[in-house]
Amino acid sequence: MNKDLYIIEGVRTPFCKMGTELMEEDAVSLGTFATKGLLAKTGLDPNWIDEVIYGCVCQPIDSANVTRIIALRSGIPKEKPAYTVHRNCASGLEALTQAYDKINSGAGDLFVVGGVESMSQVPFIYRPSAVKKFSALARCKTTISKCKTLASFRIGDFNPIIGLKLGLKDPFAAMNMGETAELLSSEFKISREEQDHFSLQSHHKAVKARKSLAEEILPVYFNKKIRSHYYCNRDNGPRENQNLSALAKLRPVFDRKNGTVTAGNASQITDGAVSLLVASEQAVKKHGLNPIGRLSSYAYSGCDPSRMGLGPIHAMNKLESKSKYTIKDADIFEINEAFASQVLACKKASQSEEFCKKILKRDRILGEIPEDLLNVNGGSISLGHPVGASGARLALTSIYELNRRKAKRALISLCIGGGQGGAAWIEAA
Amino acid sequence: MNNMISRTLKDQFLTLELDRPHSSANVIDFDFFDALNQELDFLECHSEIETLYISSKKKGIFIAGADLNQFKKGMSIEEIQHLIRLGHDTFSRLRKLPQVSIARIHGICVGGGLELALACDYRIASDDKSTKIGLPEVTLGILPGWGGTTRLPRMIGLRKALFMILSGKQFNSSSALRIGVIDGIVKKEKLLTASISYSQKGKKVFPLFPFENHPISTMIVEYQARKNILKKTQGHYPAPLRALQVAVKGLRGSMESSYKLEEKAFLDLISDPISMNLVNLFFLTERSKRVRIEDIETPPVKVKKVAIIGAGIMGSGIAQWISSRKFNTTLKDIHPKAVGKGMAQIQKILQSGILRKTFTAVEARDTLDRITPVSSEIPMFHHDLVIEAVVEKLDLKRQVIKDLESRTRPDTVLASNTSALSINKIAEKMEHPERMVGIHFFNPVHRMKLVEVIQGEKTSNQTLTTTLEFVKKIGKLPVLVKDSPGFLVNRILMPYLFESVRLFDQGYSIEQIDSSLLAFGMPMGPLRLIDEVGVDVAQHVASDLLKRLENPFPETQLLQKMLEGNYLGKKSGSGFYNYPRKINPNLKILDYKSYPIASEYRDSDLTKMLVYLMVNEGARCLEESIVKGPEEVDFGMVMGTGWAPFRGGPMRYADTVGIEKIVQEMESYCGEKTPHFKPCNLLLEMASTGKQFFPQTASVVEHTPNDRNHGHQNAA
Repeated sequence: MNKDLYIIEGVRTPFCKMGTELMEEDAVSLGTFATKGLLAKTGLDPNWIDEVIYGCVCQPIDSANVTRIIALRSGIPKEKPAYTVHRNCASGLEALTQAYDKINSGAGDLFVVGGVESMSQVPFIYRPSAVKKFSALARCKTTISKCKTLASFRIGDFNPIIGLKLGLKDPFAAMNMGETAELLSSEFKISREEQDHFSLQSHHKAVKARKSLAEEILPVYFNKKIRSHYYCNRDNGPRENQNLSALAKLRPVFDRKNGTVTAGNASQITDGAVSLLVASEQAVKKHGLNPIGRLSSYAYSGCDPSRMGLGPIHAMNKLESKSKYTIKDADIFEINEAFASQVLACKKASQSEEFCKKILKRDRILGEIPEDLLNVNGGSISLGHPVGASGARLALTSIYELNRRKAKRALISLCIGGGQGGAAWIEAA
Repeated sequence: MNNMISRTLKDQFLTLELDRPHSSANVIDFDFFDALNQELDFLECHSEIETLYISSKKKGIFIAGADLNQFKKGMSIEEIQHLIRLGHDTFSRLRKLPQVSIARIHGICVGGGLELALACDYRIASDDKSTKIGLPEVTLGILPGWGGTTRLPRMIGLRKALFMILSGKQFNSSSALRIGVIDGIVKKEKLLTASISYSQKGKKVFPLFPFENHPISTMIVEYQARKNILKKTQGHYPAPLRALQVAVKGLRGSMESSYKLEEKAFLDLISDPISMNLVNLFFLTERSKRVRIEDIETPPVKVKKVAIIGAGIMGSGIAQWISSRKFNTTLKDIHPKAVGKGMAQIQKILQSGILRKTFTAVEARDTLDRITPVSSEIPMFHHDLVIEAVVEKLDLKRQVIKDLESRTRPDTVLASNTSALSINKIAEKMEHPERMVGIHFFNPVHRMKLVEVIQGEKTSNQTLTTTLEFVKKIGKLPVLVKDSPGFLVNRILMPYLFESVRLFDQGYSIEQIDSSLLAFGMPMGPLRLIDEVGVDVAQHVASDLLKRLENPFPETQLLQKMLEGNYLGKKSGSGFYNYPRKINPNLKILDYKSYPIASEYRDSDLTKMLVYLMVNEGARCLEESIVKGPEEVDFGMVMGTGWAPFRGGPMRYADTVGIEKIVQEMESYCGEKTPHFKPCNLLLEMASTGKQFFPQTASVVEHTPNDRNHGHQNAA
């Protein structure tokens, strides 16, 4: 039997939409804020830490292995190793499951894990045509040849490629993430209205949960006055006055004519960081720690890249065989809201006999995911989806919610771009 | 003879390594010159040797300058003259050696140490942080007297030379290279190999500065420099003027004639009490770095992690300073907005530090990273020292400290940064008041080096030692004070400030009061100082003092009226003066005065009245044994308020004037409305017995016995 990964404490920065409050903080400083805050909140002696693991999708170019920089800047002793993991949207969960594997293989007992992402700072890229001209310019020796090369530049050369757009495209299936969501919406017959309704619910739940969510949030200090504020301690994604007619007005992004996926029913592009302190049972006893929850089992599964939104179902299916629980045992669910259509497709698929039989090769359905137990504090549609951090946030939010409800276990899951899914059981301590 | 200099000869290279026995520093004295002259004898006889290297075996020190202790122990003027001449002769010999001479500088190289290096052909310095190059002599009231004033203008041109000599600043190696006083910078490990490449270059000849050192341009430079010095020093400090004169005049004649000028100027300056006062302050600073408690039962706690409670101006200033000294720091306040403001304040200090090149952008980032801003309750047991800097309210402070007591380790030191409240009172509700101490930083924290360490009645020696060690470690200068109203600095300062307000109220003008104290040598007048401190803060501190002092000073309604008129001083844009552009007296507050005009006292009387009140209060502090001795009073006042340094401090000044005279004059100011001019018992007693605060008040040249200070001093 595998050993559980105890979660001692967790914090996160507020999640802020790209280009807003946190736009000037890079992934390193977001991660440093979360890590320092975690250490302060727990009062942990950093010397006890065995390793630091963070997930990050778009690592800053100036900080390859962003985790190491975060660890050092947070005052974690330089003798402690640190590395960064990447499993697209599940990178934050991957950091946790890495720690799980490590305590089970005896490679450490106490870890700081989490996820960081600054989507505001994903760089813009010069086109190859421009890059060619720039390198030619650097090779020029005379003023005349420099002028000649300079004259060869065209306005179009300065039109950058947006790094984020590239990042959200699956190069294998040659589909944008949104296009995979469109595919699911048509295959599972999920109407625009259903999707908009789901999004509205997400906002409502997040707005209502502000006070609960505040428990896991740690203020980020700007160290200067930005628009008359010195700090930020509130997610800025959830909209108090969101309504259906406003959502209905939005134009589809990925299929202009017949599409259903809009900016309103897809996850927000967001900056944020999550940090968790996790330990083996041995470390809990040794240092007298008070865990708030534990991760008892997990599974990752591959699936069709063009239907990556069904990843959660594939992962849950695999997880069932690895753990002693079925979907019915979950007190709450956290399924990352990459797209409303994708979550709704998962819900339908889990109850579809045909799908479960044909695709999952099961003799019975996976089980129902009840509406009122799903993403009870809102999800990425309202709170935002800092890709590398979301996986860790699902764990954090679900633990806090389990403790509030005095419930036993939560099933968390994410779809992963490129055709994967991840799922894990989070249990009360 | 002794092993002060060790000699290694390898092929044609001779290396002299300076290593003064039984000392952590290399300093220059008679013995050093003897040893060096022996080496020079050897070199002069062995012309087959091609190159001479000079380096130091001490950690972080090349040569820390002349041994100031020999001056302090008392030297006759003849002895000093001999020492000066010996220096001139020795360094001239070094300069005239047939060998190429190279100084490998790593660590402090100041004063006489730099003058030695200047006599070499080349100077190569390490880029290490510990490497400091400068001529700080004028800050001690003397001038570089071993050829520095003569040689430097010929080496790097008059303008740059004056910049070094007159500022007395110590430069890092990159600035020194820019000035031209050194020839190269390398990594510490590369000093050896780099110096070999210089040995191929041959003897160095002084460059010519045909334009810059031309008599006509030197006249212009001299005129400008003199003007700047007078503006800066108000004519109180003769040393820079004398150094300027020697540097300029010296250029016109031969080196030898310039040496003569140097010698004469040095002897004149050192016979002046001003230089003695400044040297004394230097020693007091050194003494402060060594303050300790003798008998401690339990060893002090090694402070590694500090928490600051309260992120106001003081709290954030303290956090910034402590963190910049590589301590992990928690900055806590109850609301994130307060914390955010504090962090912004810290960032501001850091930004200006980067601009002034006090530290690099990376160091500033690290300082910020070491601070954890916190606005919620967190575990406190891993903090070794907690300093509260919350609002100056007794109840609040008590509550904060009481709460901290239960949430920290039993050996965590709890400190208050209060500037007025009683440490004993704050500790009253504690279960273990022995853990409580006062650490009074002055504002702005990053600029003021003095820190009052306040010993409460129950403060344990362990707590006190932990605190003192910590204060020293963060590079501040502690003065140990017993808990009492206003502690030391504010206690003495407040009667002075409030007397200036009273005199203003009684009809004297702002200009009259402030300019007479400026003329006395204060960095700013008392009314201007109130503006800087803030009228509200001054009023708050004073009202607290008045309640608790046995001999309170008279209070006027004037400050209260100013508060009502929102004239809070510099921060509100106007107080006694208008800010910020052109600072001129605020005419709007004239209506608040009780009398529009007065002429009873002349300006000189005003100065005396104000200064004597400080002398009187200082004497009371001694009477009440609030500090150990008059040295502490002087040191505290000069470091904490900028009290005219060349006068040595209020107690030293009292000795200079004569206690009897002060008592007489104070009694003449004493009247029905001015009972506060009554001299305290200590002064009265001293006047009647003819005693002084310090054993002797005379120049350094005369003998001052009873001093057993064997540690070696750096400077000059």
